[in-house]
Amino acid sequence: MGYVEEGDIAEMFREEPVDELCDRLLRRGGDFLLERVRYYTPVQHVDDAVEGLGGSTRAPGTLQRSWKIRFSDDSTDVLTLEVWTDDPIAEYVEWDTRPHEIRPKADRGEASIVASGKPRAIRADSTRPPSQAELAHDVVGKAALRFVEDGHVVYARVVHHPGTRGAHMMAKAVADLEAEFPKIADEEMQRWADEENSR
Amino acid sequence: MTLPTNSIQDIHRSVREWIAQGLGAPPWRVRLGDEIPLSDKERPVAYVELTAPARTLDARATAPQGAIERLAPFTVSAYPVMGAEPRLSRMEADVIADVLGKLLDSGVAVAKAPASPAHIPIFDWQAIPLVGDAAERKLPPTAEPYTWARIPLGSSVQTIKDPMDPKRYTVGLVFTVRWSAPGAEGAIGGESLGVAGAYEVPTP
Repeated sequence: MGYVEEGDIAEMFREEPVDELCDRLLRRGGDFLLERVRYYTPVQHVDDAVEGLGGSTRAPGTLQRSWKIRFSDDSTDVLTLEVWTDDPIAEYVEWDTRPHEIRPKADRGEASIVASGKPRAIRADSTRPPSQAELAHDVVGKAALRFVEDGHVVYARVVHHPGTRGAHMMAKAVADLEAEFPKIADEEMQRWADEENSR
Repeated sequence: MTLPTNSIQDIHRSVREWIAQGLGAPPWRVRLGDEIPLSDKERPVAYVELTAPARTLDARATAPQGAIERLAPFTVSAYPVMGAEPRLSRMEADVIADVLGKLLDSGVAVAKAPASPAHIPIFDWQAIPLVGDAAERKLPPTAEPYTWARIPLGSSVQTIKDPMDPKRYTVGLVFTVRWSAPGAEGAIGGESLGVAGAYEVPTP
């Protein structure tokens, strides 16, 4: 003998507390992910001497501070969270870069100045006609890169960059979340259950 | 006979082999992340990097008694060939991004291990040198996996344009791998994973 009752299980209890639990789990996971991404994001430490030389145009920690989080809105049944940044350098910090050459680009004022303070050089293949001042200083095709190394301003016509290792901050943070989420979820569910019981 | 130990070296080299088969090697050269980088002119090349140290989790309820669950994040940085113009480079990068995405969805056969979605066959690499002649470093085509690792969560594939050269693209893939391993005290039943030739094709 048996009794079979078919129906939607959601009709047997109030959905609101369960929805609230899911939302709390998502937010706890999201907060953890955001904290871990920030933790793994490298921060460039520029000492005052170098900063005085104009070595960096970005304040240290700009990328780290730029991370944000957003959760899915109530209009969908699928819960999602996204940790994101609109900082354009993020993907070049996340991923490796290959060994490559860096050459000055025409018409880039900040990076292409010459040590003597002469007018900014333009490349020989630039489509822009050189100005009278540029012609007078014979700087056509002599653009230079300017960067700061060991506290000194260095000028170079070309830099053979060895490439960089990516920080992989997103990958590491997601792995942390995957490893820690069962523990986080257990804690949050216990708290939720205690609160429900005390109501 | 020495039983395989599900060591991180086995996992890393097996993931590298899986990616190599998925991308098609040759012409792709797929290297471990800590190998000497090739020059940018040697594209197509890809690096499989262990992004963070492997960590130990509580075992799944279905794992052999005493077994532990391990987790490690991997990053693949693929550098496709450059096209004659930025548009062609972009198209090539998109193709590679698609290949990597399908690799995770469908898997790929490696040696005697059949393709299985979101599963990577793990081989015993102890007798295969890391350095030296390319032929000596290859996995024998008759090799059989002694266990499988899983990719339980989603992955992320990203196409990145070089800020200074629009013809240079990188395709990045991030995923996390999980596998069961004998515990510190030795798992009861865990040893059976190491019996040569005995494996079961996992179902997704």
